[in-house]
Amino acid sequence: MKSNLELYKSLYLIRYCEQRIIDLYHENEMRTPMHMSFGQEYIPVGVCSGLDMKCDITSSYRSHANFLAKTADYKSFFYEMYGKEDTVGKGKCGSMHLGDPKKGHILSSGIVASQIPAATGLAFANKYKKIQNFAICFFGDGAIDSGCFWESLNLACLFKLPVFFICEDNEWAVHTPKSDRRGYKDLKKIVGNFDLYFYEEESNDAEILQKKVNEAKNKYKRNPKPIFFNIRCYRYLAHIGIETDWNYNYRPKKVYNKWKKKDCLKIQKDKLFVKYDKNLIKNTEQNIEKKVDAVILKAKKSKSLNSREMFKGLFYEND
Amino acid sequence: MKMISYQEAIRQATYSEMEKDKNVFICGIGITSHAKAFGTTEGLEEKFGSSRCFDTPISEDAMTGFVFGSAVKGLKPIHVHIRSDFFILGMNQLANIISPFQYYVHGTIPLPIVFRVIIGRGFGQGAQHSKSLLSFFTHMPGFKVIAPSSPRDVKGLLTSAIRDNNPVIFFEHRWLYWSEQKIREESYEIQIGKGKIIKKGADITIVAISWMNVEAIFAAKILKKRNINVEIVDPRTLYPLDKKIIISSVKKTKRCLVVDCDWTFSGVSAEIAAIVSRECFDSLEKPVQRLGFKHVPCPTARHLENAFYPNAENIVRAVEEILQIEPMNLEGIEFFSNEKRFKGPL
Repeated sequence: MKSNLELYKSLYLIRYCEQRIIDLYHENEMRTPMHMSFGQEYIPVGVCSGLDMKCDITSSYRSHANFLAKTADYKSFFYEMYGKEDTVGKGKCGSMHLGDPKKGHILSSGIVASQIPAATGLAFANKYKKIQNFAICFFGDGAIDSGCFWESLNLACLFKLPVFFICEDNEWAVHTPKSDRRGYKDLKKIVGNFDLYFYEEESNDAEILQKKVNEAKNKYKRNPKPIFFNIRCYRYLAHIGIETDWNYNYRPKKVYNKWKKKDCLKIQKDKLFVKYDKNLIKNTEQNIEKKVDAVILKAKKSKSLNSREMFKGLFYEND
Repeated sequence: MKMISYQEAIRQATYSEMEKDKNVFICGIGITSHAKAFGTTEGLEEKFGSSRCFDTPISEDAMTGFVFGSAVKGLKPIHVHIRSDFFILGMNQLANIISPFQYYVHGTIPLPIVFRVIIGRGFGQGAQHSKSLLSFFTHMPGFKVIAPSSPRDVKGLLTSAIRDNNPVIFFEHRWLYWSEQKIREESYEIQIGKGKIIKKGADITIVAISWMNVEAIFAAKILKKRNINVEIVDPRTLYPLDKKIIISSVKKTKRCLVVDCDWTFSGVSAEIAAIVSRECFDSLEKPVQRLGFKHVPCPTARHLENAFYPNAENIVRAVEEILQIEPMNLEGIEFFSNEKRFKGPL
């Protein structure tokens, strides 16, 4: 479990990295479609820290917060955004397919729900090898419309796998609200009927979330069943891209104003003000900013994979 | 050396790899029920327990991702599908998750997965239990694709496939299951990506895939009666394809017929024909010809089904056409069918 300060650092790192994307995207050097986590950061931060980072994760194409919450590797993050060689993906992944399996972020997928089944297999391997580790799949509420979500849920419950299903419920599948996609009223009544532990959360508070996740982990240890979290959140920006989308009028700005009041960074920062000196918080932020800015400068100047080497890495090469 | 059937060879390879490596496990719909996936999983659950040999829900999509996830964490799954038609329910995971994964990590994470996929004819299987779809999988980067045609090859290649650190799609034709051959009892590997000349000849090269090797040998025996010597090349692995063995054979015989147990349009046979046409252009006396399924969904009624699948008779006729000789009389020859099973050896 992380302290308030550690939670805030993690949240701030994600928010600042994405802010830099917003600032620099117009330069057209990051040639990868961006699905921004802005506003939703508390979910991967709270979940991963609730498991003391002892987890492997898979995530959707809205992958930035997940990658940074799990790996804290802002260097690889920006090198990948700029399509540079000195990263695991060598620029072949971009924003939508971020991952670093050796650091526990197995993959991000651009096909809604397709990242979910892999988590059941990761969990199965841990159980098989008696490793005390959890698998987490992060997915949006749109993924629940997909068959492979239900198949995976069923499998996980049948095999009693150490897996967390984390629904990042921001209400919208691209531009379609839940009410236009669901032929049922209450997800809890349906998912809750599976043999699992069901949780709901909408605090926007990473500290509260990490406690709940930790509690769920202990429940699993006493009586192994998968865990499902439906976590309400709000995406501040458009489905894709770095801008807001109020002008399309498909979702009212007043809902945003409501969520903005309990912004997940603000919540943690307010707690820090009680415990810490203002300057310490400011220094912490500036420290992160400096490190990230330095990495961005390096990334821009760094070399890209030579296109002659594009055929490498299709198969496992260390045999 | 002992006389072993194709299905027993599969079982032996699986058994010895599971015995050797505790990370190998096998799963699939119905594989622990009495049918034992055509006998190929017989005794595995009893020996290795239900955590290493187990039945699954009818969830091919999620199960394909499941085996992928388990392989990322160091297990070595064998995922059995008793029909190719069912296997493609996992296509999203195959095409969107597994195919690009290794490329995303630039070849650094072992990904040992074997998909055993059973193809082939029964009796009136109809359009949904009869497909091969080999080219679906050779088409996508990131997979090795194997289709062995003999007990000796299936044992060695399955052993290699299980030991390989990449996703392998392993096609087994049902009509080969009863074929028998004297093979070594201990385990052995056959290199993935190496074809084999299964019959030498000088007049024409037949490149045959999976079951079609049996039909090609039968056709070769018929053609031998009129002194035509067919050379048969079994690529065994469809990706990576052993182009060399095919090219050098065609350069020698100057004629080529590709016989696939799949549709021809945009199929593996088209790829082989393209390679041969390009690489052997100066040697070829005739354009490369192809045989495969008729371009319709597989019909159920026996006479239509017979017309749908290529067999030795079609091969004889195609060879005669390429060599520009009169069609011979094939009356009285009984070709393979569900009743007249091939029992080998080749």
